[in-house]
Amino acid sequence: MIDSLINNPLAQWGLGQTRRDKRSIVIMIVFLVLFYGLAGLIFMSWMSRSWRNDLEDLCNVWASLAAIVVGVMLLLWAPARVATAIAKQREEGVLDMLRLTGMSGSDLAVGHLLTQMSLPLTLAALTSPLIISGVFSEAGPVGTLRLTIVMILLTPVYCMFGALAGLTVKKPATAGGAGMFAAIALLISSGVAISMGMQVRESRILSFLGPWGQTMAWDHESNFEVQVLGVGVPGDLLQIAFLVILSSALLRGLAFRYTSRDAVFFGRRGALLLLFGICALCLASWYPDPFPVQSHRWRSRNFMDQPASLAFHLIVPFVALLWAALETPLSAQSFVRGKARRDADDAILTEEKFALRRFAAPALVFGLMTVLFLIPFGIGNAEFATRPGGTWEVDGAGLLLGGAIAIAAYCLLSLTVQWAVLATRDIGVPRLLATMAVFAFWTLPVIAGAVLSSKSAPDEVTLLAFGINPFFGITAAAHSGSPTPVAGFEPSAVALYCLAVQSFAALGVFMSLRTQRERLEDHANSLVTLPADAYAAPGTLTQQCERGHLYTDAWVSCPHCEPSAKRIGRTEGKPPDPSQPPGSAPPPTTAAQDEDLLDLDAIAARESGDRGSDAPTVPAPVAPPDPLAAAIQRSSLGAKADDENEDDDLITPSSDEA
Amino acid sequence: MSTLVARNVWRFYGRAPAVSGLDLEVEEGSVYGFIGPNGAGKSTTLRILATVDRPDAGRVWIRGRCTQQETDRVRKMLGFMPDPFGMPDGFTVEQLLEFFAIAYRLPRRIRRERVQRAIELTRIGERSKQKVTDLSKGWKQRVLLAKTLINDPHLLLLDEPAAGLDPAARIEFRDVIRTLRDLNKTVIVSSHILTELADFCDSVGIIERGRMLVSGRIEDILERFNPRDRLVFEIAGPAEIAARLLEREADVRQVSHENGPTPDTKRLVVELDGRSDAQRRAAIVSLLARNDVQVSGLSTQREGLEDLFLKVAGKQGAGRNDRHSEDEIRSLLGGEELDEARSQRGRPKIALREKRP
Repeated sequence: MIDSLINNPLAQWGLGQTRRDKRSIVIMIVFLVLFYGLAGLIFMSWMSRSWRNDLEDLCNVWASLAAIVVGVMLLLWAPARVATAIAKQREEGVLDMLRLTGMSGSDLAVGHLLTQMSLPLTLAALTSPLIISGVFSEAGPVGTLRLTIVMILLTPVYCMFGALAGLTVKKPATAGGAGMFAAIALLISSGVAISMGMQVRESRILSFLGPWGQTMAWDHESNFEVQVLGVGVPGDLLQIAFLVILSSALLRGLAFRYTSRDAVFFGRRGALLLLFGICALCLASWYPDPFPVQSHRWRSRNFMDQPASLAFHLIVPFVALLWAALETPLSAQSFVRGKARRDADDAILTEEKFALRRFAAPALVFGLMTVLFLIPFGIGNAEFATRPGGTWEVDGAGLLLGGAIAIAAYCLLSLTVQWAVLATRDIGVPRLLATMAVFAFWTLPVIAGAVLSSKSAPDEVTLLAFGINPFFGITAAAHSGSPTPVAGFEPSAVALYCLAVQSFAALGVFMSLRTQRERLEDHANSLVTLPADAYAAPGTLTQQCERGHLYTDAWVSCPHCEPSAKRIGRTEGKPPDPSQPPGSAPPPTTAAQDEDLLDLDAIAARESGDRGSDAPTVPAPVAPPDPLAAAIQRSSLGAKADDENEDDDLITPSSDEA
Repeated sequence: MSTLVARNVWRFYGRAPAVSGLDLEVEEGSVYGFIGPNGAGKSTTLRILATVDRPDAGRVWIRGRCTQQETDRVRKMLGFMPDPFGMPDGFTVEQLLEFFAIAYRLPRRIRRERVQRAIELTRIGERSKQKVTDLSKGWKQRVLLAKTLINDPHLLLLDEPAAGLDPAARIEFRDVIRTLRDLNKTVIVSSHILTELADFCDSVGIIERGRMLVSGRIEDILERFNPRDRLVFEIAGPAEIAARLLEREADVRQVSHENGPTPDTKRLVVELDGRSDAQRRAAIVSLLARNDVQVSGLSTQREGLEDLFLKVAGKQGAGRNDRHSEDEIRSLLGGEELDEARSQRGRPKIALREKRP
């Protein structure tokens, strides 16, 4: 990563190009004229005031102007530039050329980001006099510095979303629009999170995706303060940590994308890194109550009671886990390709393996997080143990039950997505459809339960509907130690019911997935490109077993059904042909190596014997039996066959192939 | 030794195969021509060989290294010139080459030397200070070729490199390819311009609808195709006797009349079943002479790569009544075997989604 930053030819080129480009200079001049013209107008307006000439007022306006302009340039324009540039390079084939040079995915990502960010950053730097004027505003030097740093850190994050748009959307103009749209969505959601943070302080983590916290702190510095393990820390510091984690996760995701790996966005590692980051930040937002009801007790200072707080702390990582579920599926293409590798020395690539660890890794990390962090911090420090002055406790079983529900729900989603990908063979939008189906499964019963509840249906029926939703189940589990029943039931029972529903549903999908796998395996086995005779010459795959496998008649029996099947006349222990590439054993079934094929040629030669000495002979130890050579030998037979199959189109593949 | 070996390569776009079970072997230091009509799968094949695209099935080795398993190593050994191509803008020719030299992580000490060598090889020295975007298409092609050579690749994959070039540029391009061959580079060139390929290719492969119809040395293929020579006689006086005499000959396939260069002369075009050597031609002339036919001129027309392509691809040749019926092509290609191959290979389908980076 550091090497990508320092020694990056793409970035060097891009920066040099920006420096030399006359358009950049024109843009800078126009920007300077407009920006400082506006600042001058503000100054003149301020000067003309007769009632009060307060310098702080002027600085407030100037600094706000600079913040808005810089925000638009860095958070809206820069992502659109990145998206457009990448889409353009993709369209023109330049990206392929760059890939062929052996530059890594992160080299390309960093190169594109630096190149496209350079102009907006330069323009932002040109506004520095007005930004510095913020030192004399209400925000003061600290507030100004904070906003500047956060803006600079947010820029690559927003640009990486833009880069994702550029790698996804084909047309440059559309990609630019998509990049800007993503940036606006981030700004809005982070703004909403600020207001949510008044109720649920942890949701302020989402506000880290935008510069709003600093904007608030601009006026009221104390507003954007986050408590970390009991110490009041400016939110900016935590935001910096958050942005660094997010940036590295996004960069990893982009690197995956650049190398055409199978990843929705972050890649599995990136998603796990993000999961860790979010959990760690959740933990950081806890702190000991400065005015504890009971001494040496920890609790989360928010407006929720302890069970709700526990539920929240379980739900946040669960949401991150759901994202990881979208990253896990193995594409049908890769699966079939992996199954195609029959040679012992042809290792199946990791991305082609249908391994349990694909699904298990995120769940294990989640479990690990629960055990390592939540229990010591939660139970060990009695975080959730005691309500201030209360009489009930959240026991460990509730905590574990909540975790188990989260994992079961994750399994359901990831297996459904995998099933959809295999069933549709990646055609269409299987991930989206599967996600929508699972969320419908989780949401529709809740809606139905609410309707039933309004119709005064029995509590048991309502609860059965609600219990299907894992979020409800986790909340019930968090209330496990509560003396208050949930709809007249013990909360643990509701949580257990939810766990059972998720587990059975996941099991059902798993069984269906197995069938799907077998179907694809059968499909893979039926491909002539796959079997042991993958390298047989055209036209030599004449045998077919009862299961539909194709193979040359060089085999005694089907080599796919019987891996130990023997070859007719094959010399055991024959040394490998050094001229063949490694990993190609069995090498192409040349006439020299496959005696059967030699026989075929001999037969063909005999058949064409009526042409006498004029008929070309096929030298025995040469390349695979070639249809052309054989055709010459038996042109008379071919002509005869033509008469019988007049309708056959030789060159054009038959319609069933197409 | 083979520089490139491809076995049973398949690539689907949606459910339609772009490349169907392609086998290919290219000898080191040779120039291989890839021929096929538009949409035949040439570019897809070259993209797969260049590791830009991945096959749905099958494998490719370049100098013994599997392109899928050792992609990074393989990429260092090859140079790819795509079609159509884009160029990073804002560079002069020299800067562009320098940029790619850095991108290939060439050591500083040899970078300059490589750039100069590429410039010399492709003869773009006079334009080296000009901006790439200001160059004409022909010069851009050369610059792209120079960029392809910058990492000193063992294998060059050139997709339609001569498309859009004027005749002079094509001749120069041909010379460049010859130079590369002399440098023991393996070159795979796809092109529509068959006459050019015939000039500098050692071997050719004809591809249509993703299938390799025929591949090998040009002479061998022509030989295997039961080539037909055409003898063009200029006869002074009436040519009917000569035509009748020639039609009686066993190896004469067809005799046609054309007007001669002068009103007194007639031209007879005699299509033979196979090649004709000097003896055979002498025998025919003496036969005509014995029957008092005055032969004032004789020339031989041999089938070349263009004819071969037309035969295989079943296309109508411009200015030639050389169209082969499908039955004829079937007999030429070995209809039974290809039918069999197609039925075996066509049966399986990896109908997977098109996935492009």
